[in-house]
Amino acid sequence: MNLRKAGYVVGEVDTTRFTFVSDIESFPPRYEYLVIPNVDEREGIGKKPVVVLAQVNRIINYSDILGEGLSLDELESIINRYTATTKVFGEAKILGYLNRRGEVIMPRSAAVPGQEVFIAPSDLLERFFTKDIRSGIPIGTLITRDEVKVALDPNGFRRHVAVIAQTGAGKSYLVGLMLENLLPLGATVIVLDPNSDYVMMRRTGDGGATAIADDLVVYRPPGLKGRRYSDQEVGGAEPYTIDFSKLNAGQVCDVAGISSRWAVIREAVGDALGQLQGIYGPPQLIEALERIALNPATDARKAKAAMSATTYIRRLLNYKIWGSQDIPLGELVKPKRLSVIDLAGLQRNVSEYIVQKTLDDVWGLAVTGSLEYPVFIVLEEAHNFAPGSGAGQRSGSSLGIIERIAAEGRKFGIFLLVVTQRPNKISSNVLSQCNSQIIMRLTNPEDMSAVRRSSEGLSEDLFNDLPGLNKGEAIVVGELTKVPTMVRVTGRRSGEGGSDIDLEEALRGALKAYELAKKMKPEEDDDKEYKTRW
Amino acid sequence: MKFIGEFVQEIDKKKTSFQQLFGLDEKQSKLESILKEELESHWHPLPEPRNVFTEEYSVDSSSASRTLSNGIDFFIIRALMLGTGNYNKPKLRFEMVKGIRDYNVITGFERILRDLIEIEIVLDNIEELPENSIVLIDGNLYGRFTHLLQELHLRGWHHLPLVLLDAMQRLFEACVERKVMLVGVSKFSKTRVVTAAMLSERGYDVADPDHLDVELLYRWKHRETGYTTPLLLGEYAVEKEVKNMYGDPDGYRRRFFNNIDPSRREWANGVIEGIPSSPAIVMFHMIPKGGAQPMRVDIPACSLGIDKKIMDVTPFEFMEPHTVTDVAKQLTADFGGRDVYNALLYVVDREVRLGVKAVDTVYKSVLGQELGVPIEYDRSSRRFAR
Ligand SMILES: Nc1ncnc2c1ncn2[C@@H]1O[C@H](COP(=O)(O)OP(=O)(O)OP(=O)(O)O)[C@@H](O)[C@H]1O
Ligand SMILES: [Mg+2]
Repeated sequence: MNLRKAGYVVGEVDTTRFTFVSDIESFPPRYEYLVIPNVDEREGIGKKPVVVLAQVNRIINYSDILGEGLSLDELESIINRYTATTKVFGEAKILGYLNRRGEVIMPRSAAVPGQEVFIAPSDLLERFFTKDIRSGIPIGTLITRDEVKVALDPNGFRRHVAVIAQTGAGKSYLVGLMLENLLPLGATVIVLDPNSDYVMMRRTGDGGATAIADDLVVYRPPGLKGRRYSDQEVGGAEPYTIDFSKLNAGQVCDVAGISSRWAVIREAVGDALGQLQGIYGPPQLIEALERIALNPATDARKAKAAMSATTYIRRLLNYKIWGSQDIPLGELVKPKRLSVIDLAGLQRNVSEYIVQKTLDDVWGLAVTGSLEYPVFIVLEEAHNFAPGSGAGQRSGSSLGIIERIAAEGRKFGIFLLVVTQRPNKISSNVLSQCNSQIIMRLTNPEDMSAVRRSSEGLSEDLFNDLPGLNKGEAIVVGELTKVPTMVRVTGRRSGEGGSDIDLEEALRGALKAYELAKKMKPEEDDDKEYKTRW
Repeated sequence: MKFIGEFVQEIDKKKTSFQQLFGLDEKQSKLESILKEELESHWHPLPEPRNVFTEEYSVDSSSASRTLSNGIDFFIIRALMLGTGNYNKPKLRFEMVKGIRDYNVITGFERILRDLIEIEIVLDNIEELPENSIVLIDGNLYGRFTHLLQELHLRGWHHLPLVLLDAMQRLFEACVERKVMLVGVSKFSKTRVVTAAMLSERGYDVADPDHLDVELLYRWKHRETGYTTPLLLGEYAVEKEVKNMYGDPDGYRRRFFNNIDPSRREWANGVIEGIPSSPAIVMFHMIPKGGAQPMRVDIPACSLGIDKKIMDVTPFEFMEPHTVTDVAKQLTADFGGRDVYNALLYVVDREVRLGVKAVDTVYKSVLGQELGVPIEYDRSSRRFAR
């Protein structure tokens, strides 16, 4: 091994961390990986040398001459004359060593002061974090080493996965990247996409077609105006409609926003539905409700309720999703198929209903044993669809089925990929079931503590690192990697939908327009002057 | 707290005499008013601070000694010479001596070795110092030169004081030859020579006045900046013996260095004979900033281009204040603040320091390893690094 030396172990050493002395030329940066090549690990009564991997936690430069006790003048008098040497020491936490089977083991013996510490070689790092680099799902590189690739263990998805980070940290970028590499393995993925984040995945960043273009279907309610990306830009979309006549009374009321406390109104809706047959839509339901309201035989209370119900149902007329045909369920659960259900622009109750219905349908297949292949469900903005009790919002219709799948889905081959920027607002029943987590930059203290409560794999150190992560940097904990791994997410080929707008560019445009408008004015004035002069 | 009551009582009882010590006594003695006047006339404003010299160097040392359980004493002496930029030269001396009974011998031995190593480290490196450099040594030069003019009471080491004197004579010469300004700077000095010189100007012949020089400065000049009239020190400390030294060096040696090894006699006579014709030392005190501790500055006359030997000056004489302007400029520029009275001397002091831990862990175990014997301290004597 041709290793680069980083320093020497000094002082007190235990099996979890050590201090090392380095120098200003060769000190390893924070997060850099180190090895101590020959730690004597006890084995029965004997010993065997193991290569222990560690990560730099802290790096400290100090000077025993330029101390904080000096005044500014005193310091300057020294600095202007003498180049005081800077001393450097660091603290590293031990990550473990690889045993013969390639498993990561925490050592039970400590290194000895005076042992040499080296920068960890790339090949060791690759073996250390990634189970199998060839069959894994590539998501980027180590944060400190862009030559060390990191791939997720597909089997890690057997546990639900949560992707947690504050807004703009790169969750959707990462999820898109995972999907783009999960799909070629044969996966069935359904993305519930409230912000059109995934609709552009057929296209590469520069407009070409991605390798997954043929296996991706975008579903959209037809006729919705003002979309960010047209159907054409997306590369074609299937209409997503809901057969209104298949909704039961409860579902109709939920979608229409009739509170479950208004029992009489809900009852009236039930009665009206009872009168309808065949294929019908909201107009027919309104007519039926009016019939009930106007029928002299109806008792006064119910008549009033039926009349109130029409106000709510009338709103549904504006929703463009009612059609004669549901998405054929068989399409969604096809192997090697990525279905993006674009919920952007839909009313909250409607998207909740769609989420609920989609999950119900898949769940129905699963529990009856009709699901042939595992299904991955990506739930973006999950805190909205599965709010926690303390979230201060109405618990929508989708919460129940999400909690259910979170609890039991894996047994039936349904795996959740929960994406949220508000871990504090999401149902803890859902979050705690996500045994694998990918956590990116997070600074809100409440959200941080929610993550800490739900994540066993997140050590104190890693937890403290969360606010310091940059955009696109992630900590992977749980079953996706062998040990918690700090990753710089890179390599996405497919286009992003909901990516940040270039505000600078937009402002430049605004300024240009403003200046143009201003320039017009003096011309008018000139004109006036010209006229008056004449 | 215990004893506080007793403490207050005791102070109360002796208040007047204690206050007199601090000069807080109302009625100043006649002598004191003379001294005040004299100091006024021997006090000069500081020149503008400026880096006058090409390169600046500083030298300091530290030492530690320990008594081992078998009665052997060991001594670690370290010196460091630093210079502007990152010039950095170390020197170390290690000695083991058996059979010391007197604690004063230990301190004396250690003291001379430190004085010596500071001189030697400059000699070692002087060839590479550019012309017109200044070398600052922590401590005074005159005392170092005139203090120990008799043998050390330690077998095998009787001649050690002469080694120091020899080295100093060589250093003075080398400094002239290499055009290097040699300056001793001490932060605290117990000298009374300026007081004595001022009194003698007024006709008082007081060999050993009551007042320390710094005491006068503290009393009347503490809030000001300035420096005292440089004083040329000649026979002052060696008055009685000077004639014997050059007239009859062998006799002097027999009286004061009788126990040195016969093989060293001739060399010793040479060193002794050289003392009176060594350069006189120019000395002054300066306060670089109001409220700062006064420092004592020593410069060999030859470094200032003044050709006066020890024996030419009986026992001291005041000089023109401007003779030391360059050095005063430099030292004013070097002043950093209360703790950093001289930037390079501050750094060298920090860098050379020998910690107790270093002695009792690192040095001790290296010693044991190198010699192949276990090193055990004598439990009854505990000493620390200086
Ligand atoms: N790994 C990465 N490399 C390069 N750019 C990235 C990376 N991750 C994110 N970005 C960029 O950062 C911006 C925000 O990313 P993204 O939309 O994925 O964030 P998000 O966490 O999903 O935010 P939100 O919570 O608002 O949905 C996008 O413009 C994206 O292109
Ligand atoms: Mg997003």
